[in-house]
Amino acid sequence: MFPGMTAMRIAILVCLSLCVPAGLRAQREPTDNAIKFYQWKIARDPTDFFNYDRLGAAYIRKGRETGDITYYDLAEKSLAKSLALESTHREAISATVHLASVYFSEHRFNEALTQAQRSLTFGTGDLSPYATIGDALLEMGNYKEAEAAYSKLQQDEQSPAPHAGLAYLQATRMSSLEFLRGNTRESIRLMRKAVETAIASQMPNESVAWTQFSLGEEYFQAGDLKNAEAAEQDALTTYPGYHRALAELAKIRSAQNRLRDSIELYKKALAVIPLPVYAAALGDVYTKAGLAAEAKKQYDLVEFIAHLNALSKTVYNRELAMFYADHSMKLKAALEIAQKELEIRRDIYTWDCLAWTLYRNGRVPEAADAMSKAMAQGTRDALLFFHAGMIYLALHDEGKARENLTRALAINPRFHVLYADVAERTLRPAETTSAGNLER
Amino acid sequence: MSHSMNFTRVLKGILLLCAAALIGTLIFRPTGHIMAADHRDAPTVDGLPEGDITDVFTFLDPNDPTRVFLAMNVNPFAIPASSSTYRYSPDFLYEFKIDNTGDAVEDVVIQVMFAGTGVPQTVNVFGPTAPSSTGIQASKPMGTPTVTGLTGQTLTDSSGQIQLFAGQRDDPFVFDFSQFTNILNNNQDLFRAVGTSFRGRPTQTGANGLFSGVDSFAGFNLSTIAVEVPKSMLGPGFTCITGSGHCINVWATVSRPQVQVQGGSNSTLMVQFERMGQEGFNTVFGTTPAVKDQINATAPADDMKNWSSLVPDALTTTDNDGTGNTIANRAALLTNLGLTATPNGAALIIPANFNNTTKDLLRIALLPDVLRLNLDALPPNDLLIGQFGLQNGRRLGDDVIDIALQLLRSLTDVQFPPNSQIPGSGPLGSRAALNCTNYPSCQDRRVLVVLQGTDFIKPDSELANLAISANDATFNTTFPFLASPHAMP
Repeated sequence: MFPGMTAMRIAILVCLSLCVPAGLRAQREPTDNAIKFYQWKIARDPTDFFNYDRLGAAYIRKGRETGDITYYDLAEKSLAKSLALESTHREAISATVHLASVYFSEHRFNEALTQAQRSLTFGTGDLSPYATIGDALLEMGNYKEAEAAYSKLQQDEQSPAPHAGLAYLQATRMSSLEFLRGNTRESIRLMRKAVETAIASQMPNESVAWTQFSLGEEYFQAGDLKNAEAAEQDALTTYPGYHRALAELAKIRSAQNRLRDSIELYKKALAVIPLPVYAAALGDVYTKAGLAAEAKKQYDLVEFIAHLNALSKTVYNRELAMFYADHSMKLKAALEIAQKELEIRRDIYTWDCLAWTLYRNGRVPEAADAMSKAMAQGTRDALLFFHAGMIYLALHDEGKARENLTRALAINPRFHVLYADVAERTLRPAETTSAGNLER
Repeated sequence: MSHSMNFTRVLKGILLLCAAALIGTLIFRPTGHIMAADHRDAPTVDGLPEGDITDVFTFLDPNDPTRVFLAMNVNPFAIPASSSTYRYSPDFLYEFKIDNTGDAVEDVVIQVMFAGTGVPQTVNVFGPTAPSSTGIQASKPMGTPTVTGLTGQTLTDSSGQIQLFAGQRDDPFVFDFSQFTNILNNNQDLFRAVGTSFRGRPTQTGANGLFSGVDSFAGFNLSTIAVEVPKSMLGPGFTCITGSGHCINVWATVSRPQVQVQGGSNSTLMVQFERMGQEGFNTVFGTTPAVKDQINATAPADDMKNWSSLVPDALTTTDNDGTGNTIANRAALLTNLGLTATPNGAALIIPANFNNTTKDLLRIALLPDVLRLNLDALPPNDLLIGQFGLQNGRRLGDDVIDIALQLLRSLTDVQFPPNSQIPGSGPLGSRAALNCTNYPSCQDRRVLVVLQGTDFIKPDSELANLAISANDATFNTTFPFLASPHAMP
């Protein structure tokens, strides 16, 4: 029924022998029911555009819940069928917006932008497509345009009908934008508001949990492990077994130096969905714990998963490049991937990826140039400062190196399971001796 | 004479709206997106299905006609076996409004609120009682509820007079929404193909005979709020427009707390954002999303003033354009096209000699947008098509789509191509007619929607019985009457 999933299932089996918790199965039922139900509806009336759209939407939800991007393939096919039946009138807006969302999730940002903009032309008055428009622009690095799109996510004061969703969309999106601009406090405030709105408006559990997870991530980025943990626990209460929250909590545990707990949580997240980034993070925790053989198993898995199919290669490109760079593997390939990624998105994290892979390839001046672009928005992300610090170190700019590494640790002393230690080790001699001792 | 008069009044109910209304109902049902987006895959949002009224029903309990049943349905397109995901908003005020004096202003209200976000929720009913204020604003009900308990079960008040059920049920609405949309969007012309001139779905043969429609709402559940009270709590009512019997007007609304422009105060003022009376009015006349919102946020008492321009003229016994544009000639036109007999259409319910003298007939029938219920018309002979509006009140199994399509096709003024010899092809002048000057494709596709007078969901042999809709579930014979929710197919 779900072609393309075989490889992912194999990966899941490879990854872990853990069972999906019963609570998670219960959570998935509504989505599974929706998929089954709309398949039944389509069998009864194969000419009804509406049911194909709803089936597509159910696949998207399934993809969100499981992290399994192969569901987006199924969603796309179903939405295409809906649009083949009706694409030119107002009724097509739903499938058009859904398709934009699929393209976004598949990192086809230009197409996502085109579809979302097209959905506005149907004249329904629905402003929610501006969220996807802004999201795509954000990935392309067009921050001002993204903000302009997000600013449209406001209730028309002339319209008496409530649109609770718009407040949610704007809060989540502006939170992301504020974070990118270094306004961490405002970013957290907005995401807290989004959590409240999501709960009050009874959004689907996964949506509420995503918002709580995101709030936790923002707290982590700000170095507030206590609130970060609370938010992730909230997410896991809302949606038991939520893979994002499990992985984020694992990250928090490693920052708390509770490595055994961290390992177990990463395993649970991988049991839900073997994302390469989770395997890489678990490998790093094993490394930190001195379990090199276990670490290697996870590192091997990263590549395997990232190359499972064509879609994986697209979606996980940047993560794979960073993984190679972080682990000094296939450095030329890492750089090529990063350069290629820059063709489809030019946001700060792609510049960061390019900077880091250039740095690892010894092309330090170019790395510094790319890094300046990564930091152009003033983002208060400890990892960015760490990367910048190491690049300046290689440039023998002791002052800037120390400044950036200090910033990284000031933002979050445990910002990364391995690199926080590197930053500390690098800084400590720097503070007491000369810059010449600042060596990798 | 009185027969003709009755029919005239009746026709008020007719409405072209029907078609339009239906359209509105359907289109209004939110489509709900759910997806991922943003560099971290932020969700998008659904609409507010818990505040979206799909249908309103009211009729005398056939087991005890001293009692009136009222229901409003929300949460359209609920998937079976996922009932825990469908809730009522604890922020919203759901109200049945009853006018018993004939001025379209509520004299009695039944207010329903919910508490909790899990399932089951607690439901509290206040009233029936006189409202503290009328119109689009209401105070949040305080004090002791008349009925209280959990959703998903039938509750009664302490006297046993008032019954309530709030929870998941089968969606009783029956309509081929897919084909309807295809017709409006010019992907086809009629619900069933006719010769080579009209595109439509082919006739199919089923176990019960010929049909060609598909009920788009089959298999879906929704959340109902159903109440039954002695009619003495709502009446006595005003003299029905036919001159005999006591009538009440019924509609349902959903309100939300007033938007806090300046935060701080804990307002208990609720503002209406959704309402519904007869099937389809807003759907048909709400020509744009903004108009739909406006209709939803206004009160029936202002409907004639606000919205009569949205409703086309009715045909009369008098030619209004020099081409013989009358009810009789419309009937002849439909018959000549072969659309008044199976397999190409339903028989006419408006006879050629129907006596209507007012071009405002449709406006009178459709506005104000309320269900009109004759408290003295006893079941089972209480369908009364066209007597007070589209039909008398609205029973769960009434074929309200076909009723509306049939009334509208006979009565709505349509401008046909000049010099085409078709009645209605004369100058527009001051006529408020639907535009079909490029017949047979028609600029206003609503003309085509109504032509056959049915969407052919029932077997052809049952098209004439407008008291059955061919719903996919069997209704309960006792309160809450709506069928049990579907299980997964």
